[in-house]
Amino acid sequence: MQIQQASVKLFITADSSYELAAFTPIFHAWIRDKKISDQLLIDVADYQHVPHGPGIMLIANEAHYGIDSTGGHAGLRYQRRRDEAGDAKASLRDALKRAVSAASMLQQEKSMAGKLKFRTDNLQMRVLSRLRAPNAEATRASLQPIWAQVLSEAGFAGAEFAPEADSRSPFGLTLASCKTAPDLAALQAAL
Amino acid sequence: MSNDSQIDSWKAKLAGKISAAMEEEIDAFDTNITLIKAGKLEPKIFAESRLRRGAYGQRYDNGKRHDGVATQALNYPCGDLVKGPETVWDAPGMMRIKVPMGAATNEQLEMLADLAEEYSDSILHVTTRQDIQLHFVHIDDTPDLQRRLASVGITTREACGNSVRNITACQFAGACGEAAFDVTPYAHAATYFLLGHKDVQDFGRKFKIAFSGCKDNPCGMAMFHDAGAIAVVKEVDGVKKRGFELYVGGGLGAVPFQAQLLSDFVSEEELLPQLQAVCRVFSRLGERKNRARARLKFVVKKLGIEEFRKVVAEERKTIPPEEAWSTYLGNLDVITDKPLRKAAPLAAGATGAEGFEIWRRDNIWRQPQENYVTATVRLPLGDITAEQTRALTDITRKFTGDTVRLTVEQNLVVRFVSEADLPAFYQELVAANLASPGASTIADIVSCPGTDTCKLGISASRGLAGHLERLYAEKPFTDPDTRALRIKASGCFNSCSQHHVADLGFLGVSRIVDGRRIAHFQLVLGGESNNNGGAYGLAIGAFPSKRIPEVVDRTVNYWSKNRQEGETLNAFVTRVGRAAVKSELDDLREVPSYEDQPDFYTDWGDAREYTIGDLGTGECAGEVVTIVEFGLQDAERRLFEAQLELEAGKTGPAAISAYKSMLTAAKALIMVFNIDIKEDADLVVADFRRHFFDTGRFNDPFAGDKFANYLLNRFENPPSEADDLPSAREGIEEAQLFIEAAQSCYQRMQGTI
Repeated sequence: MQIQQASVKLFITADSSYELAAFTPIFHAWIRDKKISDQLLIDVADYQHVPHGPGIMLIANEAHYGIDSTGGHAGLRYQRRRDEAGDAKASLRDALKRAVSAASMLQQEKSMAGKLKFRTDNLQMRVLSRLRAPNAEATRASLQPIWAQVLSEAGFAGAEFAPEADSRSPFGLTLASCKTAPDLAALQAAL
Repeated sequence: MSNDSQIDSWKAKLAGKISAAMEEEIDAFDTNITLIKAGKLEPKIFAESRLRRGAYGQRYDNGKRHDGVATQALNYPCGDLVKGPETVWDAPGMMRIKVPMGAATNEQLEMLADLAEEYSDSILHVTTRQDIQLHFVHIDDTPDLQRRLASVGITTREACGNSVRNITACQFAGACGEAAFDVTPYAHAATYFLLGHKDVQDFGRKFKIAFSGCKDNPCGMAMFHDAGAIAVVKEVDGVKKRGFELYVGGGLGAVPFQAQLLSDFVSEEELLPQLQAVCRVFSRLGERKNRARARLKFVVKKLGIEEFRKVVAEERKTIPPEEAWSTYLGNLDVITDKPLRKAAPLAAGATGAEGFEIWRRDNIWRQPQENYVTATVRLPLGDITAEQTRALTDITRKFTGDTVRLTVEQNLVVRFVSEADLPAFYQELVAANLASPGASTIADIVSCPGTDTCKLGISASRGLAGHLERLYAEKPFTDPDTRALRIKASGCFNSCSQHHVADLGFLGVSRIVDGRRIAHFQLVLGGESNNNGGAYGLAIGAFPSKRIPEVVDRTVNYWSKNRQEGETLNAFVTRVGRAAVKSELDDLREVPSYEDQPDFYTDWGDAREYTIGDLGTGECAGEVVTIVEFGLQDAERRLFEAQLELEAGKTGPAAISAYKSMLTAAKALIMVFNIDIKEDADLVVADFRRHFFDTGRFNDPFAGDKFANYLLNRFENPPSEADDLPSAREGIEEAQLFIEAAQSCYQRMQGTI
């Protein structure tokens, strides 16, 4: 089973305090320094002016990264664009891994020191392909067990999911609750 | 996964849901992709074919990007595969989607939202010509994107390229008490009559058409289009007949022209054949070799409107009749809003949520249909997210019906809202973050993509516009006359924001100060968006990008303090003169040193240094730099004098001064090679030709030898005291661009000397 455009969003904690504009120089520096060596980083897109929008985006050939506030909840979104990692499980695992890695890199940025924290007990997975994964019960029946397994192997236990309610939206599962969730460092090590 | 998981392509999934004609066109485009990948299609041919399908290039698609320190190669995985000359296959591109008359249904909007999420960056960008643009789209995705659009009745055919572009119309058409009648069905008929018509397939350049319901308002903008149709009703034999004043040869861009009246009454029966005749004349007589002179405006200028009128009349006689000329008249309700809810007045004392009254004051347009209003949904920089788009369709389904319209000011309007529903309607817009007040005010800034995504962008017009919008949201202007001003910002001279018709227009340029390149904007004053874009402003000087907020403040304050009763900014500038305004702003041209304010050396919203890199200037070169820069400044001074002469009605002297300013700029550049160059036109042009034209050194990376030819053409046909207003204006615009090109050329040379 293959999917396209797997996406994972890690939410930022409510007590984080940062300026959205501060991500612009960070992403420009990532491009300049080729910080993500296996992806071609191309440009920075600035959507600060759009409320609850994609925020500041790092555009890459294979994926988009962004400090996204869609739905009113800020977080780091990773969205695969092409060259999927393999089957559905590999794609989802890769999306999670890359989101976690980028979040960790952001936390380590000097300008973000002590200002930016990510929570791992509440994250969102989406598949932005209505051809391969329409937002329907059948998709949920197929993908939820796979996603649960990816999370389980990464150290989550007792995960409960909430599906994306609006059938017009891309298929998505938000981690509604879980008994245990690894922190960012443990998650990165597990992936 | 999908129940029909055996269906693995949009082509298969949408089989039977797309018209045969559209399917055939998209399949042909898909085949072209296969052919070019197999090396069986010339990149140049493929480029024109994708442009005609709306698939445009985007910044950095040549595989290079300056990272603030140095130019870096972007090593896309596609290797040598290109989608046009110097356009790398894998590089992100822009998809332009025509929305005729800006009228979109809920189903279409929801499809656009899907496509923005899946193929772009979740943003739908509304353009100044009522298109939607999606950015960062991969060319491989465009056939499916087009199939999905086709499944909801949208074609991208002829969205770009040398074709009839999206036909625009006022967003209030059919809901406006000031219009002669609803132009929507006429614009619709023209759209589908001309789309793919054999007579419009062989143009030298693009062709833009706009419809307006009235002469006065700033919605239709008929006066700066290749063809502009303004609705009029005329009594013929005691019977009121619908028709149009038809204007031709207008255009903005590098050299703006006001349209001229071709006919004061084209009947509705004659509308399509007249447009067809104009198109045929353009196809036959339009320039082919020199793209810079290939728009219809140059044909009209060359022939004169009288002769052009005769040529069109003769052409009209030769066209075989077509059924489509009149069949549409039997179906003028083709796009008619059918109000969903019964109209009722706003209940006495009814108040909405916080901000309702201000929003109502700014964003509501009263319709002639009693107790119905049109609400403007103000979009910051023309952007709306996919999620907001779906929220909006929920709102329209609940309150109004099936359509919204895109505006040339990059907003959306929702028509036929019952006044009684306004508080609830507003509440739902607030929940979707779509309830910003200030529509069509100084805070509602129009901007082209600029350096964000456009290959031609010089300065960050969106960054500037975003900064100004934030500023004015935090500290709004309160004076009603000031609030009514319009700001439009373009990233270069091409006027995609329509800066010529703004009260305060800006176009991006750059300057070198102390060896470092700095983003600037030219301030354009004197434009008018009313009267269908009735007057064009002129540039009064370049200011550092980071000083533009001060430039706006200073200009507005100067006008506010010194204006006469009821005097508009445009009238004020005319009365006091550009020199006085320029003098008021002169100190804002200064640039602080890099050491004092490094922030000045970046552009809005971009962390990278604007400079190309270290520019080595030895002692000798330094001396030359001083002389050349001095000469270029002198050219700007002479050009400004030309503008003052034009302002004083001295059109001939203005044209001559403009020409001399070009010679001065050329002479300044020549001094790099020949420090002893004399101030003699023959010598200057000969040396310019030898050192800059023949070598291609002056060529603009995108416009080629366009700007150099401005000088050479003027040299061959020098201006005289007899030059009229259009000639003088054209001469000044050309000189402006020539001097900018000279500045750019000099900047390029500094990196290579």
